[in-house]
Amino acid sequence: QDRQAWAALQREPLHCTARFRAGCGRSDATSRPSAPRRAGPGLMGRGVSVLEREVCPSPAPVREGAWPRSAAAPIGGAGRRRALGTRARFPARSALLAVPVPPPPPRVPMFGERAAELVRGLHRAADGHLPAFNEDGIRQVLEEMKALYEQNQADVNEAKSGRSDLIRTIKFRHCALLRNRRCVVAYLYDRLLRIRALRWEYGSVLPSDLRFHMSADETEWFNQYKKSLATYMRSLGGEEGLDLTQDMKPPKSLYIEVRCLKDHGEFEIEDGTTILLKKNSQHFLPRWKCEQLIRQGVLEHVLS
Amino acid sequence: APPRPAMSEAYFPVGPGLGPEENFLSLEDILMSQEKLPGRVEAAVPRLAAVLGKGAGAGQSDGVPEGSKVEIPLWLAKGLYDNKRRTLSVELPKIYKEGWRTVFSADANVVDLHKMGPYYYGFGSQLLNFDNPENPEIAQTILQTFIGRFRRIMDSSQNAYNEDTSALVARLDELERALFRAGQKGLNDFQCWEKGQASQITASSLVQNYRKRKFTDMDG
Repeated sequence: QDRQAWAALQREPLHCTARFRAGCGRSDATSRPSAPRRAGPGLMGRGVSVLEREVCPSPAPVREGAWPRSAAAPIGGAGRRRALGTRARFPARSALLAVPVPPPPPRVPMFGERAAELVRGLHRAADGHLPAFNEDGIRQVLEEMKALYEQNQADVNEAKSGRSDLIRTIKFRHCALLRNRRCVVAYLYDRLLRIRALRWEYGSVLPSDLRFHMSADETEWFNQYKKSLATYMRSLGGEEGLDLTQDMKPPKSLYIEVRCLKDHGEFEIEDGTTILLKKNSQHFLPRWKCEQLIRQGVLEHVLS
Repeated sequence: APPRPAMSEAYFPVGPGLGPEENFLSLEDILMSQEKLPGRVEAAVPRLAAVLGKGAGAGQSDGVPEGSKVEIPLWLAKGLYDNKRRTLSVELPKIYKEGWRTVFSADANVVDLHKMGPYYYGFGSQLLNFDNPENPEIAQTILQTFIGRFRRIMDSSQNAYNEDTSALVARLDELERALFRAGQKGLNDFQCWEKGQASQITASSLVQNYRKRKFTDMDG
């Protein structure tokens, strides 16, 4: 296929140079899938050509006169034939250095990098703290997955009609899709584990900051989890149920001494009396009433 | 003074897998498999030159030619690898090669495993998935390194109470750090019990950052 393309080009040298000059920079893969792209002399052709000359292992046989001298060597991988007739007559190196070489194209991020960032951000929040929901991050990963999927669909169609070498490209993108999926699922799952821990360690009503850190779905999940847990606890221990989230440490007495760490307002106990929880005040209260407030940091358990 | 709040006791993350199997949901395993290793493209991969860092000078949709050296993350290497090496062949990163293996066997304790890619044991175990003739030696080195270093980790984690431990963990890899933390937790729990604080209700460690804010009313 290569040879035919070259043969065709040889027959019309001037046309080709013009065409290539105009067409350089675009990858017109559909018409001639394996024809090499060539840089016209007016573009960065010279700078690149010298590199190509060093990379291309073997020069093609010279045929003087059949090709304009200014045509540059083709760009391509090892083994491609150079333009016939161009025994390379490149400008001296010093002249080349004067020609500004444009900066390399911006680095295309490798697939799966954004997904790894998502996971890294969550992993950094140590000890089970719940950071804000990274909606942007998720959205970017899903966009990458969509692009990969569409590219793969297109390539599968092309592969079916002959280009079997695209199989590896498709496999590559498929690995990236699986990877992105794994990262997103693990991210969401780990967050749920943290939210579940909040119910046990903190209580059934979360402070507003934490609520803002959760997505709508996660809030819904938390509510459902609370309900499931409450239903289960009610079903234990006879009529009243059993609060499993109490007495996480072995209790030594029914009443405990507590000190107030911040103003919390009025607090009612069983016999109807109200207690004012003012900062630094100390009280002797039933353990089961205080446990949650201690866990929330309002009270401090004072050991006698 | 109020006792130091414990680490979260209700958060049980999915831990890393053992041996050559990763845990799908483990954040640690995901980060570990993001680490790169060197490889060689055995058959051209069209259109992905830019993504593999080979796009300089050429266009965005050029292929990666056969024979190119690449640095790819472990997850990709595992996905593309097959026994017959039709697409990809992988090389060992240098710390798992002969030269470094000798260093490890000389004295494993002096090596900074955090710098050598913070998942030395995990990543090394994953390398065994690629059939490399050196696999038995690699496995042996990883095991012996762990045995050599474990004693010091256990000792330091059991004896550093209420101190700044950053110097002790600086040169540990992630698996060793997890072990260190487990040791510290055991030590702290025991000290807490000895002081009679085991029955003291403590504030949830998850609350620490949100102290300054108001709480809404509790429901039943």
